[in-house]
Amino acid sequence: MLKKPPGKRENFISEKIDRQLLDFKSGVDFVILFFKEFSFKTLVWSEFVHQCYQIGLKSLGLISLTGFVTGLVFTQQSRPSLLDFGAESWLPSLVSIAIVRALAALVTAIIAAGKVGSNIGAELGSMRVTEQIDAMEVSAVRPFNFLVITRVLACTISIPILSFYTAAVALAGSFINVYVNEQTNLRAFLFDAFDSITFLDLGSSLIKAILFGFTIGMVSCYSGYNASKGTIGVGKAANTSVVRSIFLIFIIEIFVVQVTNSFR
Amino acid sequence: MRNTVIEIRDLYKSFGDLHVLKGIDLDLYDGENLVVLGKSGTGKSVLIKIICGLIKADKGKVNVLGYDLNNITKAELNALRLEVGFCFQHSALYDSMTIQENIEFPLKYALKNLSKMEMDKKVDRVLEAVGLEQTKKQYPAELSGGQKKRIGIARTIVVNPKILLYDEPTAGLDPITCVEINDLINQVKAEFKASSIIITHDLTCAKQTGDRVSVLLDGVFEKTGNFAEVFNSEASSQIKQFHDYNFIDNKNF
Repeated sequence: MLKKPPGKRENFISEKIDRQLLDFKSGVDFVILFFKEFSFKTLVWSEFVHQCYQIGLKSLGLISLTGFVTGLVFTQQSRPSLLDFGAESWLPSLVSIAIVRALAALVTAIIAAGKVGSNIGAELGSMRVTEQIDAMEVSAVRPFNFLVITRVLACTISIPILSFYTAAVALAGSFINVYVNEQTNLRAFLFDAFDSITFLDLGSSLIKAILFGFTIGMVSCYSGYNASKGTIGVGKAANTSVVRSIFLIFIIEIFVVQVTNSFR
Repeated sequence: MRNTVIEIRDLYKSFGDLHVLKGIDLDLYDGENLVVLGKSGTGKSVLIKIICGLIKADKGKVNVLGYDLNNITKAELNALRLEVGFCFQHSALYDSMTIQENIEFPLKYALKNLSKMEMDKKVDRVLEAVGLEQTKKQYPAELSGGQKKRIGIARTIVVNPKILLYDEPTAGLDPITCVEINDLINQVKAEFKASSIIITHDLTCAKQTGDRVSVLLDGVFEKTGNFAEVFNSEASSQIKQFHDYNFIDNKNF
């Protein structure tokens, strides 16, 4: 019988699954490292503010358009069903509940995963393959603190703010639709819309948005920071950032909805 | 007797089954330029990455400016990194920053205690030293390969390191720019009084910049001495071959 060459380890399950398990473990280590290294004392404030600008302010245009269209279209599509029951006056309540409880945070997170996540993944990935991260390290600057902590924190803070902004813009879109079709005035629309929203809705939406922001930041930074294999690695990092972020966003959405519903 | 700033004994490094360094001994003396010559893939870059703590050695003693790299804390390593400058092969300039911001970077985030005026002064001084004062507001993408190398060197010397590690400083440059970079390396040595290790496979660079030359072949140093000693008539066939291929143009034309 042929002997195994020394130093070669057999796979635990299969090569592919082993690699994914190791990748998962290194992702968990990355998150642990974030909490170990995070401190407001060592935070690079100038970079953090710059990232908030990049992630938050520079996404406003896209978020505004998406939020507005979401509110407008959702209202338009919901009207016929409510009309069947003669309940079109419930439209503002229905739309506001849907937007605040689910759509605003979810739409913002998906847009951010595509725009911000791919940007962070590609930027850090190219910095890794062109040795810019090594250059920071040999300059006695800790690249994890400078690049990762600032970006994750900026995502965690910017995305909840963007979510509430999306909700406001979506409600504006919805109001325009309602005003054109039913001639409802703004005061009545807002009264109906906010009357049906509870603190639990706002709280769960805020928690969800914070988790979405943290996830997008963490996943994108992890993908970019650990990129390898030249330009292919950069493309892969950008792609992985988006795909994994969106996958985790849906997992978090399901989890938070289950937990929130148990309090209703 | 000359002070040793880097002392390496019996250094080993492997990547999986690939044994790159197989028992390296090296001394770098205060104020000298040591050139490490060798073919691509012989572990030259790995050697200097071990010296600045980017890669951990498998076995062996690495002592840099009195710090034992096998037993060094994070704080000590950061302190050491301010004394050891590293010039990357492809310059590794930060794309999103201007040249001024690139050079300011270690001053701003590693030294931290300098005023804006002091930083500006230091940036101006090193830009003048590398002859690129006019590029201050430009971005790396707007510079040529040679200019990027110069800015890479400027960013490294701005913190006044005691040791400089050059990774292939002339790789990918035209012959005239190569000579300019070689002159700059010598100028930096004279002006900033730093000891240097220059990793290269370019014999012209070795000849123009090296006080001593070490040839790395198959993971060990084959020969060390001044340029004439290393490439004399008694050199091994591999060293002779290395020399002949480098100067093939001189032989044929």
